[in-house]
Amino acid sequence: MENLIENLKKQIIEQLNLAEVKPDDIDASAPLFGEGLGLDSIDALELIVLLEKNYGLKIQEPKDAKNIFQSVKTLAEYISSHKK
Amino acid sequence: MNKAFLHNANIISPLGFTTKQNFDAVCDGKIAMQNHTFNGVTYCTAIIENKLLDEVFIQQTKLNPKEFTRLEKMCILSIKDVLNNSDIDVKSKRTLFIFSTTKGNIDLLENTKSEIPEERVYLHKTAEIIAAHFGFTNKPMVVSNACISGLLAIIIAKRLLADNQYDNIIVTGADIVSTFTLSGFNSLGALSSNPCKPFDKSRTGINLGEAAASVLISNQQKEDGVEIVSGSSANDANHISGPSRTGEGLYKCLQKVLVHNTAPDFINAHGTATEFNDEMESIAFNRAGLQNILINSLKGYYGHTLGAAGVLESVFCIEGLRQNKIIASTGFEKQGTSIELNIATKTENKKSITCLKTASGFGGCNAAVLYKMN
Amino acid sequence: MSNYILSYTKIKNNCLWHNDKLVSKIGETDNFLEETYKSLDLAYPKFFKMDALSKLGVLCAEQILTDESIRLLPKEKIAVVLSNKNSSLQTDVAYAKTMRDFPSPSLFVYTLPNIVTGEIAIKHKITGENAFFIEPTFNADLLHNYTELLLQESEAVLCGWLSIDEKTCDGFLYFVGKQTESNQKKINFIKHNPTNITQLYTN
Repeated sequence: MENLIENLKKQIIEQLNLAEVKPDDIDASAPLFGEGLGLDSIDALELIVLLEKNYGLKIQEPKDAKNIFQSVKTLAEYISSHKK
Repeated sequence: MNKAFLHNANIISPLGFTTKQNFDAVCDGKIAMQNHTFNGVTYCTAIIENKLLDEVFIQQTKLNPKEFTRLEKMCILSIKDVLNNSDIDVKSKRTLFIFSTTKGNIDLLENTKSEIPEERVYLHKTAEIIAAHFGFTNKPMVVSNACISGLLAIIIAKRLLADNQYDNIIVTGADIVSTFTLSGFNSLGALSSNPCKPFDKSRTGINLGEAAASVLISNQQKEDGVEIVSGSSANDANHISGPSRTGEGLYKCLQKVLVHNTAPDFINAHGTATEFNDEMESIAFNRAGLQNILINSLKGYYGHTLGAAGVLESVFCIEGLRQNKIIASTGFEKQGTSIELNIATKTENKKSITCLKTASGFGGCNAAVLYKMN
Repeated sequence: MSNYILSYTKIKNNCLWHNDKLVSKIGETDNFLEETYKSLDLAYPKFFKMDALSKLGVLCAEQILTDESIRLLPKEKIAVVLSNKNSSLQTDVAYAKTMRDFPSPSLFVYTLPNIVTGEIAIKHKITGENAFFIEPTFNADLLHNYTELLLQESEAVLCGWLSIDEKTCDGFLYFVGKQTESNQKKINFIKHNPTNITQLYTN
């Protein structure tokens, strides 16, 4: 899980062009949207692409996305529990 | 200061190749959207049949359809129809062609086997090809400003005519449906898989549609000329792909356009059927005191035709004024915006003198125009 | 009443000039736009999400729109009129590479030339008229003509040419407005006409 979280941080930084952010700057439990990284609606859509591209996972219900992307930790948990 | 009047107009769309064919089809309740497959994905979208386009193109121009892109053929047919019914001199220095498009020949990026030279992906090159066909002396002007392009081109034409720089301006707005735009809007979660429902409670997004529409705008008033009374654009300065939640930019346009004028008899809104656009428009109209004016969107018939939308939908505004008719806002069943609007639910006669047309687009842009029957 | 070019910036050959003063010079690098951003200390993280065209526009607009006398103009009366030759083609091609397998929404939103207008508007809260023209080459006559028309109702116009392709960045923005009591001592006034515009662009 630790490994997955570290990898996710790097992938998020790359996919979302967070050029001035380092993996250590991201608190795995902190909210991704709103405060913290201050991601927006387009970033949310890119995270959906990241999930599919890197992990082969498609979110079935769009309304689940809010919970899945709450933090790096919740995202990692979703991947762990759904990965084939 | 000269005035500006809209005269002849044309629409090339899946619903017909003349204004009359399109207007009659829409009055009959026909919609242009069907299921089509692009790159293995099925979309609800409005496409002009290629075989028909080429047949009519050959018939009208006697040229080889393989030497022109779909967009160019649509535009040439559109302008030809407008010119056939007018006596303007395209070679005159007082005649201008303005071309409005968001993506031009973007399908050239997808089709490596095309015989069309790569340089036609440049919008000015496309405009030059179209202009050269008709022999315009003046170089074409090309406006590319997201989904307000068509309406903005009409506003620019009005300003040039008012300043006495030209006597006649042909404005053509056009865009095609392509894997590029379909996949793009799909990645934004913006597409509806069924015919779209502007302003409706259960709306789920847009359909893309393709069309070319042209209008002749002149400083001369003729019998059925519709005047462009006022026009304005403004930016939300809020987000690049979502509208201002309080409709800042659109509201500014409405204030400017209506400042010396009474409320319009009807409004043709942008009404794309996304959650945010329709909500934003309802708020802006309410702020401007227009929430009770009869209002419709045409996107339930044509889908969102991007660079063509402002011109195509303006043609319907003109016809609506000329024929004293309001078109039903198809797709609408139940109030779906926080402000209740007076949505037209039936196509019927309505005596109208003035009509307001609005548009909004990516990049936070907004535009509005007031038309008046004389 | 005459209109004047009150301020202008240029990005060319990896240099950024403001009113003909060199502001930033970055050596040979693939990341010229990002390096220029850093040298200006802009503190605007959204910059890195933009495509190259928007980055170019935002950098060119910065010196102009933060200028003391320009900053205080009413934002709803400032228009933005931009132009280029290839629209958003560089980003279009980048997006097209993703569209068969994993279409990228953050690339797609930049596949329109006027998004750069939006980014400038957002950063500086500019809410006036907009227009984006596509021209085969820099066209001072077109920009001058339309700007003069807009100035009948707008108070000022940010105009220019923003061109990006694989090899080069060519940015030229200039601000047209009126001579007023508050700005007349601070600014070098250049009459707004096609000759002067062309001269500033080609210098």
